[in-house]
Amino acid sequence: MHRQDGMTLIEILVALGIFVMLGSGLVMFLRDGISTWQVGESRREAVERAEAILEPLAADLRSLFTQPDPGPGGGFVDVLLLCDRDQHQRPRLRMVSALDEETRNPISRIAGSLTGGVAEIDYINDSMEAKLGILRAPGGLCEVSYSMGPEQDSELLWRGFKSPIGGPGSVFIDSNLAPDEDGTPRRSRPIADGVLYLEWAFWGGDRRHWVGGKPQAPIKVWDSTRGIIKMPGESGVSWDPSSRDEPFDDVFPDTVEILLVLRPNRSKALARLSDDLDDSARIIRVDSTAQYPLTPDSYIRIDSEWIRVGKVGTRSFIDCQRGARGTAAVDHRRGTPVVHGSNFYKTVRVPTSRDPGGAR
Amino acid sequence: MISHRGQQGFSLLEVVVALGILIVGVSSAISLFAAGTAAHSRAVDRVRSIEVCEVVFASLEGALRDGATLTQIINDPPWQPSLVRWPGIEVALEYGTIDKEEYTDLLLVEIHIRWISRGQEAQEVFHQLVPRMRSVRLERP
Repeated sequence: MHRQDGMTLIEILVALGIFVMLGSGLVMFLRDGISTWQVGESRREAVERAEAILEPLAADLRSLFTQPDPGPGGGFVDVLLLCDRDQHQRPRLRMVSALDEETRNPISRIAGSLTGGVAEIDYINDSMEAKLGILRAPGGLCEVSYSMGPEQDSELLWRGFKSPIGGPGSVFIDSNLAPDEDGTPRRSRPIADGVLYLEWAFWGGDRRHWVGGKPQAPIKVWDSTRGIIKMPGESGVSWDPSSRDEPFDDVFPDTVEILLVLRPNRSKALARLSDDLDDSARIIRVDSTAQYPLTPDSYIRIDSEWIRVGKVGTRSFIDCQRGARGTAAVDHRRGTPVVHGSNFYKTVRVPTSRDPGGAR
Repeated sequence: MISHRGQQGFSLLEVVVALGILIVGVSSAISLFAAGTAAHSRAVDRVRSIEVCEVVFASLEGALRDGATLTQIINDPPWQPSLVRWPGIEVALEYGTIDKEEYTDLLLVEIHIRWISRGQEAQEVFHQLVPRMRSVRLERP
């Protein structure tokens, strides 16, 4: 039997050793790379979803119409901008905008071509009404509303629409946006899911970017007529119910800041409560806070309650302000997930801003 | 050493050469990863600086309309309260004026948004023409 001249055991061990070292390094790198890519990909997806919601909303605000001369409606001011709260204390925005699709949308093109119209473009039977030729002329303006789904924990955002403006079907009358027998808001279409929170903040009128060297913070509600909702005292906006239908003192903002909070991607692991939580606890213990970025203005959501976080510890949220953003502080069970949304801001300047008593 | 072609395994030298080639290949793949990550973080930074820029221009125009002068704005920037949302971001402003007829002049504003990215200072620059007008509100009693 002759000698077979292959590798010695030592040679194989050395080669294996080098291979294992390199291989494990490579695997580590790949794993890091993949997790970075996943984070980046979910962030990109969130940015695109946010853009798809914020851009049309900003376009509606930019085409805000602000000349509230009483129309044929018998002296009523039909042109308003109203940002109030719905029955669950969530922000809701309603406004009158220029109808930029009047000549492009086949339904609004037909509308008003025959006299004696009785129906309106309001997302209810519009194409049938257009076929019958009974739509009223849009008059270049439309009412638009943005509101969250009727249930308290809904993450659906609805856009309501009505043209021509005013009248008994106006979206400024709350009951016209109430859910129908299917539970969906009337005169509205769903435009996005996964919306945790949507808020508008306004500068303009008595809220100014600059007063004696100091910028003022924006206010979170707006009532262009000053006569429908009572603005908070610190807003400095005088409230007078008798000015509801007085067009001269109407006031429209010059800058609107939109805050959109989206539910993060499904793949993102959520922390869970490690103890039952009562409605007054200011320290919230969870299994991990690794996924929660530390910014000075952080909010978390447990069930439907928003909580403002003062500090993020390793396994707890400290110095929490319970029941934030108009929600009520309630008890939560152990194991409930703690949701932290992705925040997106958009600042829109309103070209048609209007001070009381005249245009700028 | 007796040579028996066909029965011999790899020599250590061959294995080392093969590993060397493998290392070159793997390191180029890794550098691709690093380049991809850097491009991604640049894109994220750009999106964020556009958000910052919207806030800065809106508060600049608002403050000008509400009667602030440019010196006041530069010494005491009105956008500072909003910048807490983006920790680590710094904003600097430069401007030139373009004279127009009465009441209105134009400002050419350049905004530098700076932050530290991977230990290095990064910057985005935005330009805009801003008409400088006072609000009619200031003339009312």
